[in-house]
Amino acid sequence: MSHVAVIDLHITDLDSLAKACDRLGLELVKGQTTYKWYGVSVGDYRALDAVKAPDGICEHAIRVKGNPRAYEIGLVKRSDGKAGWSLVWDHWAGGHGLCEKVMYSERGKRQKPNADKLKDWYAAEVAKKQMRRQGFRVNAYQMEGKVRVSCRK
Amino acid sequence: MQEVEITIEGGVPKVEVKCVKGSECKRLTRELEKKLGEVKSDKPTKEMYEQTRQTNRVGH
Repeated sequence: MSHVAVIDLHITDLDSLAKACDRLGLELVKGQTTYKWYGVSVGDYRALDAVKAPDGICEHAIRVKGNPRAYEIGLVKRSDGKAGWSLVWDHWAGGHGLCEKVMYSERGKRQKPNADKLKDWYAAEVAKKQMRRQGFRVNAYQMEGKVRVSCRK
Repeated sequence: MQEVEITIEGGVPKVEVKCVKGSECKRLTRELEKKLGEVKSDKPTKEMYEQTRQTNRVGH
C-alpha cells in the first residue's frame, strides 16, 4: 500500500527552524521578545493565525544576518491554542531585505507577502531529522518554488 | 527498498510513501506527520488500487 498525506504545517521545533534560518541567511534568536518593524501599524496586515499581541512583541525572533537595517520576524503564539508559533513581520518596502530571504522570487509577478521559502525549509528540516532517526538516507534540495526531501532505505 | 518523498510548496508539506506494503506504510510516516502538523487529507495512491484490482481478479 502507498499513500499521500497533505499536512497543515505547525511550527513547533525551534531547532529545525534555526537550521532553516541558517540555510537562508537568517538567524533565529531564541528569547528575543521584540522584533523590528516600521513601528506604527496602518492595519494593512496581520497573520491570520496569530494571537492579537501588541505589535513588535514576540517570544522569539528571526533576523537577517549581516543586515541590521532589515525588519525582523516575530514568533507569536498561535491564536487557536494549539502548540507552536505563527510568524509575523512587516513587509513594507520588502522589509528592507527580509522578504527576499523568506519569499521565492517570481520575476514580473506581484506576490502576496508570505514566508513560503522559510516554511518550506522548516518543514524540510523537520522531515530530515525524523527520517534520519528512522534510518533513512535523506537528500533535500530546492526546486523551483518548492523543496523536496527524498528518503530511502 | 522503502521510499518516502516529501514535497513542500507554499508551506504545505505533502508526504508520499512508495513501495511499502500493508500497514507498515502508515506506521512509517505517522511520527513525521505528527511532527509536521495536522493531516488535512490522506489518500491511498493509484498503486494501492492497482493492487486491489489484481487481488479481486485472482479471487474470481
